[in-house]
Amino acid sequence: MVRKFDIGVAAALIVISVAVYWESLSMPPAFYDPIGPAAFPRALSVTICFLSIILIINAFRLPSGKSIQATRQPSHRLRADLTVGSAILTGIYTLLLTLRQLSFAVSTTVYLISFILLLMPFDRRRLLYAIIIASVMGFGGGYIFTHVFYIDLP
Amino acid sequence: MIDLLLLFKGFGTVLSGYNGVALLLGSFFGIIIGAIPGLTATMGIALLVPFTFGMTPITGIVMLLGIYTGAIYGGGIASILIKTPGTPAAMATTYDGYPMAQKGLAGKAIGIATISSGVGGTFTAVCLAFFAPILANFALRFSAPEYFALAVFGLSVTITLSGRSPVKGFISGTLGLLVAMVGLDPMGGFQRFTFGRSELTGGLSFVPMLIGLFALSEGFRQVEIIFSAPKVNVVIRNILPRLSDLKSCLSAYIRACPIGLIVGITPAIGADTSAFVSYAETKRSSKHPEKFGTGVPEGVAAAQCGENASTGGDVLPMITLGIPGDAATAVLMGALTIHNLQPGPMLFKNQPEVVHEIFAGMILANITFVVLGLIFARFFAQVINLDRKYLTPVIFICCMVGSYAINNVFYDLVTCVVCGFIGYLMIRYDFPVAPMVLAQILGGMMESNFRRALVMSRGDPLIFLTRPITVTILVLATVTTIVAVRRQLQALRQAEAAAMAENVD
Repeated sequence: MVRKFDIGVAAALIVISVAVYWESLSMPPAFYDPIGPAAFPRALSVTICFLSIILIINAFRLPSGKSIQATRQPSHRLRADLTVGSAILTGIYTLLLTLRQLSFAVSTTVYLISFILLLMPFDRRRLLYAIIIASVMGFGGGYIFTHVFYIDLP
Repeated sequence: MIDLLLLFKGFGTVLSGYNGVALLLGSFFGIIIGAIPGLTATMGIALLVPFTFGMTPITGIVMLLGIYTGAIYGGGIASILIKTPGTPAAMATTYDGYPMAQKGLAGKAIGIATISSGVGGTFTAVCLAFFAPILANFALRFSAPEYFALAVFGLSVTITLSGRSPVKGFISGTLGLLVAMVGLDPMGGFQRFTFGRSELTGGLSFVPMLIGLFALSEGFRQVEIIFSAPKVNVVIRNILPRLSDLKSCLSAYIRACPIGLIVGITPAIGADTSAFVSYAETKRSSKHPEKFGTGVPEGVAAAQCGENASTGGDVLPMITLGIPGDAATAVLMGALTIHNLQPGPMLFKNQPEVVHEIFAGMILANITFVVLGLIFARFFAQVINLDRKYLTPVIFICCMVGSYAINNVFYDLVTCVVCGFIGYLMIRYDFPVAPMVLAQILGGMMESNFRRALVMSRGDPLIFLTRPITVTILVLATVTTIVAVRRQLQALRQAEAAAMAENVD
């Protein structure tokens, strides 16, 4: 998994470095100083490309089957599925706030209830706790943010 | 030199009105953040920076200093009680802290850890107050070539000492430099990589990026390990240590305090290295080294004292030169900048009263967490048992609200979420996050000073080799990088060999 990720990242970085170099070609020549605005981005794009190639070579040098990362895994099971779920929920929450379809208090309450229920098996008692915490945070938290910390809410 | 009158005035300012309350709240919240495994000092500061916007600069900074020092200390509580460090820096405390708790001496271990952290932190804060003005005065002689060299030094050391893979460290650092290029060109004002978006003209928003990379990413990580939280089930009593216990720790303090200060000043290495080196050195010089690891108070004292003794050292280069030593001070530097306080030698010249208030705040923050730690030890121990299934979503909300609050634009919200997920992937796949953030800070400084130096020399690059201070710093940067890369490559080869041997078996 680590090997695949490293290769994927390296490939993406090579594409980014080519794009950066391409964009730097449209920058004006040196005027106020001897090297101009394009020199640093160009040097960086070449460096990133070079480092990405090394990363790919290193990834292929890793012993197959078991990576070095795998030898350091903790004893408990990692729940990447929950992380992906929380990322999707957070994305939807951000979208809701950006579109301004619901108020901060309502969208935060809904988001928190969904998030808490995502992290634990469903039962009535937990649902009640989730609703209480989410409402306190959504409505009460909103009041504290705006009236105590003087923060403008989305 | 330090102005004692200003320092005493600073104590008065910090203790008066809202500042004192902010310090208390900051310390209290910092200890809670530190005590919960997985939440770090950097995350705590990043999370709370936006909540200081409505405060006066000194109130906000004092609160953040309280969080910083409190969280570094708080990490030791979880180390002692559940053998899981609250913060990465508190790992060394587990060696003797947990065995002490197993013997029924959890209260005594927490008491010694609290006082030792206070001793180390106060020592280093006093040193900061004395040495920072001298260094800042010296730095006034620096010009563009020296600042370029300092940026190169800070960056190279950070990249090479962070994480386990030098290549991944370099990639993280160069990506940070690339992010620093977004916005206006520092010399000509030409727009670079803005893609016609007005939001990008000032560069990527720094604080939302910080919150995403350090706080939200850790939130995602916490979700991944949500079912692994250990519980505290030891009795805590007799927290206040006896004088004889503290006397036995004196030799640990004498070693750990200067070690912490020196390690803290060195870029990229901070509280964790300081704690390990202090522990190892105290063990080496002890009359009974064989007892270390079985639950001796000196072990706890050395680790905790060394850990907090690095805080002043970490702040020193940040406040005098504008070069953050680690991730936590990078976030602190961001906070200072938001409050219109630009760290560097000119801050000492233009606003000496603010600088002395920060020194006073740093000293008082270390005393505050000792008092709070001794009074509320049982409460902080119970905080570890907090159900993270409820806590983590609340952290997410704080991240989102905080990142929006800076400029009141939704674009910052998106930056925070995207950076949060990128940060999570980086942590998961062994790419260090700190070099990326430090490179973003140092990138602008590096480019602008490099180009200014070339303007000074009319395009002659030899300017970097003809100025003694510049040459010295550049040579130091090169040597440190080579040594660090060689060490890391050796360690990597050993790990590869071990993994291959395991595969063969």
